[in-house]
Amino acid sequence: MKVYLHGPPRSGKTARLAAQMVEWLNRGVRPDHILALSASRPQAGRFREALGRAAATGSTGQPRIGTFYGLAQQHVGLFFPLVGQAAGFADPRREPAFIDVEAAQYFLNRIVEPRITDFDELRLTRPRLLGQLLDNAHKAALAGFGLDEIAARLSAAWSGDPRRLKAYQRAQDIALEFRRFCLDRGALDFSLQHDMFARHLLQETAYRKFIAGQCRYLLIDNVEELPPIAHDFVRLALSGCDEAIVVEDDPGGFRLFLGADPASARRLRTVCDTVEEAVAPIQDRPIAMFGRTLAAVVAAPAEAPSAGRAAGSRWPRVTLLASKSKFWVSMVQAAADQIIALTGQGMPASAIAVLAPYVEDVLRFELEERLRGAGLRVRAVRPSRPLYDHPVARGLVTLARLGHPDLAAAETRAAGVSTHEIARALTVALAGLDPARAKVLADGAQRVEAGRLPMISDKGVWDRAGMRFRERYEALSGWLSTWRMAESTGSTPPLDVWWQTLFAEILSQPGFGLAADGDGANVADKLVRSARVFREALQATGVAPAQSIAADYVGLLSEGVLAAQYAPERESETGEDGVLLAPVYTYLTGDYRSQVQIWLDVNASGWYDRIHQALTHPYVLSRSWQAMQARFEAEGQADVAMQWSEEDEHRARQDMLRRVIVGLCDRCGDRLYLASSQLGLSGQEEAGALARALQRAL
Amino acid sequence: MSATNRIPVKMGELDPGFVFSQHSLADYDACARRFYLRFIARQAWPMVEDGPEGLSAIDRQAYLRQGKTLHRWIERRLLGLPAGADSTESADAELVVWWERFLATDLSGLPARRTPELELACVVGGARLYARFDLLASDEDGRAVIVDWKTLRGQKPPSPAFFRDRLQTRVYLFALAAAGAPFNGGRPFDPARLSMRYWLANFPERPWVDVPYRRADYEVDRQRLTAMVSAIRARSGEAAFEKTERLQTCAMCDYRTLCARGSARGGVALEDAAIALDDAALLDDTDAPALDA
Repeated sequence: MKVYLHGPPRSGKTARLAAQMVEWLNRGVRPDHILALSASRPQAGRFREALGRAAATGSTGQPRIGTFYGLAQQHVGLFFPLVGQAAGFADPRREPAFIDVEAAQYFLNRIVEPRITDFDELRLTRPRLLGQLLDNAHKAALAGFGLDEIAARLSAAWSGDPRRLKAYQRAQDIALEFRRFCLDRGALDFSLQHDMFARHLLQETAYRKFIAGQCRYLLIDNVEELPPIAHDFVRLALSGCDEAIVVEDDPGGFRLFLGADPASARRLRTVCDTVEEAVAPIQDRPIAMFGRTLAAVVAAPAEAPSAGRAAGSRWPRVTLLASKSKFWVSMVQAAADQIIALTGQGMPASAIAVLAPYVEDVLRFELEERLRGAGLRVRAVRPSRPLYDHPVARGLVTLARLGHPDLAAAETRAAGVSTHEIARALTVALAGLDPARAKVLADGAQRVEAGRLPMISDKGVWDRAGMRFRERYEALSGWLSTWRMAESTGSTPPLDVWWQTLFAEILSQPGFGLAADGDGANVADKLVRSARVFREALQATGVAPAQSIAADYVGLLSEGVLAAQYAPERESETGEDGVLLAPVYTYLTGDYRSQVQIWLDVNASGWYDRIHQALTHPYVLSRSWQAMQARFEAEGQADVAMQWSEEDEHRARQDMLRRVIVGLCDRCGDRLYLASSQLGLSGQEEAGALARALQRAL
Repeated sequence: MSATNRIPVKMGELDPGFVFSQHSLADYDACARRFYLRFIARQAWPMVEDGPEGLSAIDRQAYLRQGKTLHRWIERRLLGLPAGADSTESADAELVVWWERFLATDLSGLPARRTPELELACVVGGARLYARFDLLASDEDGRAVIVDWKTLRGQKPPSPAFFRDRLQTRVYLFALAAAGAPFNGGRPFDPARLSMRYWLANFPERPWVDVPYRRADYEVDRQRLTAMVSAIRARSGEAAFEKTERLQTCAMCDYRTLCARGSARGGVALEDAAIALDDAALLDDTDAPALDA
């Protein structure tokens, strides 16, 4: 039996998937014939947790569990000899090099560099420009269309300044040139992997036979969060499998910006034997009921209940907080007061989630400060900060500029390392050195030799900085000096190995900065791995001489181009025992659940506005858009229908807001608090669609 | 300066869903604190990963890459796909030598049904124990051979006793006997019908080492692995995971400076490097990258 199961969160769908997996194992099904796929890493983890629980009853077996993206990458690698030539690789006999987003951005940057002025009028920063150019290639691959359709799609949908059409064409030309580069150099970036998977591998007879043999039992979770080419794969697997359950969360599609396409997912219903609805009686879930009412108000404001009703009378579990607050901090205070009151009544802090369109450092700090007095912690699951923003990463980069032969030579030619950068690096390198003393040392060093970390003999400096740091400073200075004096040669260790050597010989030694700093060591490790992957990608493609790789890496990291590298967060930040603080979309895509939700900034338009992206478009570069256009063309109205109008944008926002509201409320078990302030964090006044809908619904 | 570094990590317990493997058990066998740091605290410690006998970090990385490619070529070959034969022109010389030795290896003595890159998990002491075979060769009569492609280097091949006593051998054979029924028509394998073969890419004069299995071995392994897993699960908190008394173990450990038990430069045993290849999940949890967010 092949079942398509849809329903709201909390209706037992994922539990059913997990139980089915265990039941198959207990029935004696070959574990390697079971494929369990999810849209994201945390969701895949749920299958593993189910296996862990089943171990208590002696259930054995290891099904294939993972994300669709992992499966695509693995299968493209395995079957590369079959499809490399058809995909256009210049040398399909050579093993391809899988490259990550950072390396892809580097290669793209080389292509963009000579034409950067072509995009001046868009006023995009370099990282955002590269991000959008690459995003187009990703979207095309995940929707299953060619890069040569990008400009036509975007242009047809555009109704503004005609100069934009040239930019679209240039964006497409760059995407095609990047693709050519990858094919010539044997590089497989995310977009090419998925393009090969969808347009070549899925058509290959040997692969189809392989899938038919391997995927006898299929479990697909959150199919609505997967891109159309994943649905193509699921369709193929369903055609040959013995049993399957495909689960759709409704509402869903929160990973729209990562290619999710719920409409495409729903077409899989036709290839299943039965469609079942998982029911969670709404009368038992007052917040879910409120969510549907509020969503209905968003959809049809004119017919919605009028404003002015007392919240307490209709929705006793929904409370407005700080509705008269003028300032943003008052709203945060009100939220903190409510959390303290709830926990005082016995509510576990971990049952409470604070949600906002964006979670910036200042929100986290303000909330933490206000809860600390009550002994409550905040666990933030916001996207982590970029790696280079971490002091340890910056410190290691500075030390490399001071000592790595390839970088030190470049520094000699350039402006050099500033006193400020040296001071910050010293606070990382020497345990217990505060910024003021570090500044004294850095100033002292600069008086001896600018842009270096020389030995300092001036006793006055040591009197002020502290003699106890001298021995360690001199060890570091001597170590860097030895390296700097070495000729930059072919035997110079690459940056990743050099950093490891610095860590091993200096920074992890007693008294040095990372010897007792587990967080710092984790950041250092992440930096080392990032630099290594980058180096290996450049070496595999042969695009840069070995001596320039370190400088290229450091340059792009410090310019923010390698922005997809994030600093790891420690367990202390992500543990289970604090109040959850998350951006709305992170909460939804991570499928969190809470007894209590506190929504902040309900006046903000960030609840439904998408980021302005001049060169890409999540709706136009989708398969659903393609299907819609085909329909309009058949009806003879292609020209009018293909434009993305203000009305389309309005509808898309409304649709997303409705889904967000219902999605959040379905994940809230008991009570909902809504907080706002007249002025936002930056002092601007907002009255977005959510706030307006709330006025009518409450 | 303090003599011992102390990392103020949050004291976690072992995840209830933790999956043991030969790799994690080997870490525990070497040093309980190493197990704690790697699998409970999840503490990274980016030391230089030199290999033994003067193998540089870069050479070691290249060696691991070659090993991975060899595994992929063999898997393709076993699946009936074009493998590495056409790739030799642009491949590393040592890899080509390994590949040619593989092609020259007579595998006809192995049972006929071949399943490459097979993952298996059994239950020991209430927890899951994971194994990943490079190849399972089995037949209708319940005979099965686990094959492992080894690229380890050296003046001479390690002794049969070395392979027999490895945790990898004990875990793999036990796991197949305990959880292999779905691969034997629903009947558990008789331990006496199992064996493990290490194919040695660098020792053509002795291309493989066979390790037979017996019912008594199965019982010994069961007791030993259960005791290990139970002992780990019974420990709680950092203090319960003490440093090893065998100081020579520390010379090859990534955490040697963290524990103030070794010099900055050490080395990783080649067999450990090979083990690292075994623990990668078959389906990596790759996620879609978010750009311009």
